[in-house]
Amino acid sequence: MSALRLRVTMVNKYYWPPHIGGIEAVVRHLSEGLIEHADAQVRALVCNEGRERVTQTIAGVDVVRLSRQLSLSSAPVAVSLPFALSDELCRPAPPDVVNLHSPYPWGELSFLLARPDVPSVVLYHSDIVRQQRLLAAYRPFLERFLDAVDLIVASSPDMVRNSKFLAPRAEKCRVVPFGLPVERLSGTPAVRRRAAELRAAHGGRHIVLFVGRFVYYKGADVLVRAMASVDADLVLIGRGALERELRELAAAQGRAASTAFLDRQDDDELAAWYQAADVLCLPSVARSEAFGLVQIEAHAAGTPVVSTDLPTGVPYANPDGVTGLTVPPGDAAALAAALNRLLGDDELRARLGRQAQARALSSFTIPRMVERTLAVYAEAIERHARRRAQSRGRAAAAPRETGGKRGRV
Amino acid sequence: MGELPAATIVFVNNFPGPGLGGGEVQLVQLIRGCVAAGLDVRLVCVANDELELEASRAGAVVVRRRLEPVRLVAAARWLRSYVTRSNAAIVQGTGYATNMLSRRAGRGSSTLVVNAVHVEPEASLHDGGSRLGLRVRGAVDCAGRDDVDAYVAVSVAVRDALVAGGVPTGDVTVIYNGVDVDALRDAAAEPAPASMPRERPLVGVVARLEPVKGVAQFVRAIAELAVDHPEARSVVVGSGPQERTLRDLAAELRLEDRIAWLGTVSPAAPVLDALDVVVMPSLSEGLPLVPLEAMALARPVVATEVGGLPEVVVDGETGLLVAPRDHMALARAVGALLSDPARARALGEAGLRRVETEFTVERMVAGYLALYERLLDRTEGVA
Repeated sequence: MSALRLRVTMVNKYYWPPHIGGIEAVVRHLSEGLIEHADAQVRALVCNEGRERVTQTIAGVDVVRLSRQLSLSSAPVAVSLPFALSDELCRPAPPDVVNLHSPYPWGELSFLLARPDVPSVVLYHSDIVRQQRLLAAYRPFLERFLDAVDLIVASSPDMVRNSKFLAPRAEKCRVVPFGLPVERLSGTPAVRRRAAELRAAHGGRHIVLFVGRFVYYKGADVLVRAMASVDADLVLIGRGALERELRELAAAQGRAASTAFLDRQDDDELAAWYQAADVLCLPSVARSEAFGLVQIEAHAAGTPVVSTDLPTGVPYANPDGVTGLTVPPGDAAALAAALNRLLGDDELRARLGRQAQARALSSFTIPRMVERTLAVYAEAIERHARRRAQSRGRAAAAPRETGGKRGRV
Repeated sequence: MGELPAATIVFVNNFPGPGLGGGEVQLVQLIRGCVAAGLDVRLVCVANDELELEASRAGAVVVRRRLEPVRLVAAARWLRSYVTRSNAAIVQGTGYATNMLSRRAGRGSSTLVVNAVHVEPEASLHDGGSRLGLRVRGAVDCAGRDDVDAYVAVSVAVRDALVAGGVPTGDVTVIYNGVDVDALRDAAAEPAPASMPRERPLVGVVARLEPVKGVAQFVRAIAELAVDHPEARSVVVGSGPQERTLRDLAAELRLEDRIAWLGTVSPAAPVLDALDVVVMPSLSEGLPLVPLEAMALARPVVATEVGGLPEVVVDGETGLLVAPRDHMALARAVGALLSDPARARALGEAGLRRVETEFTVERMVAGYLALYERLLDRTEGVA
């Protein structure tokens, strides 16, 4: 019975709720998907945002939030994580596999410190792009960590090809596209009604949608500049440090009236916005944008996407001419041209939207992510067993080689 | 029962494990009931992996915190800030130390303080505690009494002990522990440990091996029982500090092949289900779960007449009561049931009916929820 259930321990910075981000969304969808579709037992070792150690079961996932002592470059540090990782193996029901999520420097260091003898998989969400100085110091540890785990999962083949950490280890990299609750995003009647209301409020004008945090790599400024030569309303949903600059930029373009800034929306309202929009734009300008999940969310709603051809999973998520259009990052003129092309051609927009929806509903579902992840776990368990047998073989051979040193204590 | 307002309740527990004690099993059930009733439930407890997980799965947010006696002052200060931060309506202690903590946490604030008392105060004397220690605890207990809004006693005997110690009768509510009959039946269907003797009839005790549980009396009774019932075998389920002493005693009495020591068995239901008579030889008790579990599985119980046991076991109806520390009487009672299996079966069946009416989890939870409702109504009336 319970002895046969697969046991997985996730390791990540935080868990949603309350902490939301792209990685947290994936961790949660994967965890809950493993429970729903594979009857797995899932624990998550994460950081608490405060000083206490808190355990809470969220939708069947046992979430252990370790007390956070400090935060370095927005990466939380829980001193107890290496111990917690070792302790995992001493539990009455130890995990069959540990699934880490990177980038999370303290998580990776903790794994190296604890070196738990357990099959391990890392879901490599993205490279560290911005904190170059941190990376320089951290690089050797990251390399050792990637060598230590049994398998590496990336969300797109582009990620493996273009990451200087993954490319040399392509042999142990596996691609598992993210899964989303795409059915929900494809629109319930209530969501469709709400979408019609939103469209009506824009009086028949085209709607260009942006969804994301207002941070440097998202390139929202490029989009705002491009909109100067696009006859459509721009709706930006999100929050972030750059919001004021973006508002000022829109005003300077004389587009304050046709630019709306909305705070984070709940799931249904966001789904309605995806439905209501004519096009979603993901104008990201840096490799920190590893995949751009919002693209798949828009696709699920039948909305095509204009995004940038970054050397990451972004163009994989939104192939040019199939589910939308791609333009060079940071090029406002090219972006405006692509938007105008799409908005001016109802037939093209409808075709890309249809194709986008079909692709999202077939390739980016949670059951599919779970199925492929399970295959990776199975392989990791096998590799781990093989590696262990090999090192045992070496250990058995070792005493003879170092026989002369025996007795020296 | 009326609707409970949406409110936050903080439970405090310091049982370090391993595993869950009887009080913790009840606490997890209570948490599940509170969550189902719409309360926002937090549990502050010491490191105890199993309790943390069980409580978390029951729906509580579980906060691990060091609450050892030497840290009482720091722990109390922290708990006070936590209770304030969480905007808790109620803070509830679940034992002596956590009751003291909850009082300090709730002192001078609008948070209501509930103290659950699971044991008779003098229980510690049987486990090597001193009379002086008991008096000190009693004095500390008295000093913080004004901060307590309600006491819960797990049995009338515990309530009487509290009242005798000076707590006003009106402040104490008796809420019996409860067991989940269906869950126990399911658990009993699991295979018993391989070390279980195959011979019948079988009598047994399930207890932590501490002096207060009176297992020595059980061992001596088994020696007596061998005279009239040479065919009877027995099991001791549990572990604890007294294990060595007890096994030495059994060896001295030449009981090696009459008593099987099974160690900790979790869940114990498969063992209980296989026993012809379940024995509770305790020297002091609040309201133990073992006889309730035995009765839920329709087993007759022979128990000592201490603490809450007479409230559970009705003499001659669901089992037999004997005086504590009297192994001869214990052996006679067990022997009487072994000689009359029909009567033993009837007592067991009556025990099941009694558990189903008096000692269910639903009843226990309803008792607490009614208490919380009363307390919250009272404060709303004031405000």
